[in-house]
Amino acid sequence: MTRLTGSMIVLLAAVAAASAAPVKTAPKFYRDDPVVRAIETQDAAKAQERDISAYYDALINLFGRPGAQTVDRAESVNTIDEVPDSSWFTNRAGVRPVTADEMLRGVNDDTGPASGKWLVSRKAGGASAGITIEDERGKTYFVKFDPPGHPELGSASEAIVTRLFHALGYHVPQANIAILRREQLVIGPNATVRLPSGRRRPMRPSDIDEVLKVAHQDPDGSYRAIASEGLPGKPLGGFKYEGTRPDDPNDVVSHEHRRELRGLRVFSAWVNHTDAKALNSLDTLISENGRSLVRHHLIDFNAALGSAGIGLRDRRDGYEYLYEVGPSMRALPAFGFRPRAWMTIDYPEFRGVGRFESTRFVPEEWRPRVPNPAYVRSRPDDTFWAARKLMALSDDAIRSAVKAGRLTDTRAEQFLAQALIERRNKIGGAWLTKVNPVVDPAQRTARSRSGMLPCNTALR
Amino acid sequence: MRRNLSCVALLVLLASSAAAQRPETRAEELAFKQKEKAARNEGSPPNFFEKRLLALERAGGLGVSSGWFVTFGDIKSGSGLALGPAYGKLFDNGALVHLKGAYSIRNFKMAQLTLQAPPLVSGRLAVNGRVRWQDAPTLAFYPTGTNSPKTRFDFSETTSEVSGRAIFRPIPFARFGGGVSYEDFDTTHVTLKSPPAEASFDLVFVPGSGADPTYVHSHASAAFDSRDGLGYTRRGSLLSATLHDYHQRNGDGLSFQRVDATAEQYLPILHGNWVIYVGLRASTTNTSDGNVVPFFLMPQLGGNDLRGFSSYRFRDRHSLLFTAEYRWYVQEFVDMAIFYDAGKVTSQRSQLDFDGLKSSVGAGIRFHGPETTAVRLEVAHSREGWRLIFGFSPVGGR
Repeated sequence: MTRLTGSMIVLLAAVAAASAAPVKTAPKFYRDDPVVRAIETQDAAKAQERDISAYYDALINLFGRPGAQTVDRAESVNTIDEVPDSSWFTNRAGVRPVTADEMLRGVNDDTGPASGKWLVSRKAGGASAGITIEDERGKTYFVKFDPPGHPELGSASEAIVTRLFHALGYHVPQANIAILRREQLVIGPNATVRLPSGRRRPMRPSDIDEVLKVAHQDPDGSYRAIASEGLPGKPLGGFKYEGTRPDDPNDVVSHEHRRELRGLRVFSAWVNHTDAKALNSLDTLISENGRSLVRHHLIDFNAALGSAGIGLRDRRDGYEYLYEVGPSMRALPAFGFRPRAWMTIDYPEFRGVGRFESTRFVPEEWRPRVPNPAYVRSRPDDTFWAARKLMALSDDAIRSAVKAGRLTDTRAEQFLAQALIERRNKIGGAWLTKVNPVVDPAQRTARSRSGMLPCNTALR
Repeated sequence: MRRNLSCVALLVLLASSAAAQRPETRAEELAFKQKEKAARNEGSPPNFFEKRLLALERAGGLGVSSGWFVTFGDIKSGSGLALGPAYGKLFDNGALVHLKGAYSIRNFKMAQLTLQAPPLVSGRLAVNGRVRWQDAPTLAFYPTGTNSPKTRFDFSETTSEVSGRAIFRPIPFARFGGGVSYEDFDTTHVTLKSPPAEASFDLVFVPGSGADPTYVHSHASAAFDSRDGLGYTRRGSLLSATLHDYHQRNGDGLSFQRVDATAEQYLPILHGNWVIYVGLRASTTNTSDGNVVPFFLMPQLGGNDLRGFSSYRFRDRHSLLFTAEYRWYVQEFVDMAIFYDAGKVTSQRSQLDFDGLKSSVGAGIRFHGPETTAVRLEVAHSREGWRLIFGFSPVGGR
């Protein structure tokens, strides 16, 4: 055997070994498909708190198109087009029935701050009047009050929508209605107030009075508020709806390509949550199995269901972006005599219900205040996924969520529940029919007849 | 040849080894991506614009005049487009110091320091003071009266002012104000700019021409104000009256009193997407024996009110202005409007009626915030021609 022949044998052996290895292109299916849980494997302890500019976020989304320019299939889905559980989402509605009791309960068994003294630690930022308190059990809550002249409006919206979004699968804080009196509020030992210079000074009783001055007070002297339980973990600021969080190694799917964020368009349309923006989200650093992980939450739902948190929502909200060229150009020369459809809607007036109705609602035409990078990239398969989740919520479950808003006018409660049911049905009619509705394929067992057993969502 | 074959074999083996490390499960694939991102340790600090906007938000947002910024307008009608630097500082107790200067395309200049006290009486009482210097090198003067010829004279005016004032709002719709200021005027004689053939105006009768009076100017006001915003209004009413007393300190003959009265109504239609505005404003002056009202402090019309006419086109002892406007929603923060203005000036109070009004019509676009009018761009027409108006304040009373 010559040396040349020896080399030939080595080469052949190498080729044989290479041919035995997996093919170079990634396989379409792996043996663990479809995954039901996207596991975060890396430690995110280095994630830092960050601020997001509300102005920049609004401007870049109104006048630009942040994020990837291509609109492909959502990337956070498994091989049967479902969203696996993750730090973003936990499948609830649609994979199992959500009972009325479960809906009323919300995220957990917490029912709000304990009665007695509440230690105020700081004033909240944002448009709504609010404070951070600690109850006698030592639990922390963020308390936001209803705006003057609009009793029950913001608090009911937050209590209801938090429960609905939790049932749909999002991470949200537990939020309960709380009734309090001024005497309950005591300044905490380390309570401070931020001054215009950026310095902080000890809180004074007048600081609490100032907050309550822009809160609705009932004739009996009490205040109604929404008390949101403090989220576990270290707050890291909000998440943007495009790109990924740079300091979170587990955040590898661009947010505009996440199915659960694209599908949020459908859920937001349902409850007219027009303000789903970076500032109304919160990432927290939690510890799980000895690793630090970033969990992504949606927060601040007091500006939904026709509420703007500080009053009634603008009539335009839900119908046009803050800046939209087409309708403006048509309005310029028309002297206003061609009113837009949303200008002519008459909303029923109930205590605690904002500008919310179902008869004029057209799901596909719904708009948030500012274009959302994930929403604008939503495809029929994304909205179909969300519509399926939504249709899985029963009438009873929806009524139960509305009950959590503790509206004192029973007509208001009935109206709101009915409007939500009708809007849900409109969404089903609009988005379940846009793609092939066959879902949930399951292979028959050997004892049954052979073949697949699909489910037609449109018929369910 | 043998060496070449060995190299190829080695490469193929390495490649096969790498392929063997490829993920075999979806979980491994995801873990690989996460590990890869962790290794990159990428950072993405906010870009320049986001950083600047974040700093602005931390300072209190657009509504708070903190730090350095650019100020527009606010010199004097007729200055043309003006801008300049401004600096504001909001103190921890709520007090505000505001310093600004401006320069216009017509060489008008202004410098002003404003001090605003912290909110008093639970925010119901606002007290502020200011020091202001203003130079208007070329201002228009047309002969007094509504039917005066369009013969333009020029004069210059330099004003220095130290003032203080307070506004008290005991209940939501009521407003009372008062203040006093020391005002020093330095003016030149009116001179004919471009004498037309028919000009026959006798300059001897221009009261206060070339005068340099110094005044102690005190004023008091009362108002019923139910408007939903002072800088941008969609509904509500305004009824206000202000009494001024100009007491000359450096001589005699130019002391006078002046009363300004305003009535406005904003009528929202279609939930406020259309707004009809009607406003009536009257100004009248009063003098004791031996005194006259200097022409540069007379009630005047033109420019920003009787918009089809030049700034200061009409002036006399008394004035009346009626404005009607229809405004419609184009876009959030953008309105279109058509308007009609009519007014007159008279030398006798008894002539303040609706006869012989000069009128103008026009249309415009407004860019505004929830409670402020940022820019008004309007085109107006009258018998004296077309005018382009560029304003930084609302049409109605402030």
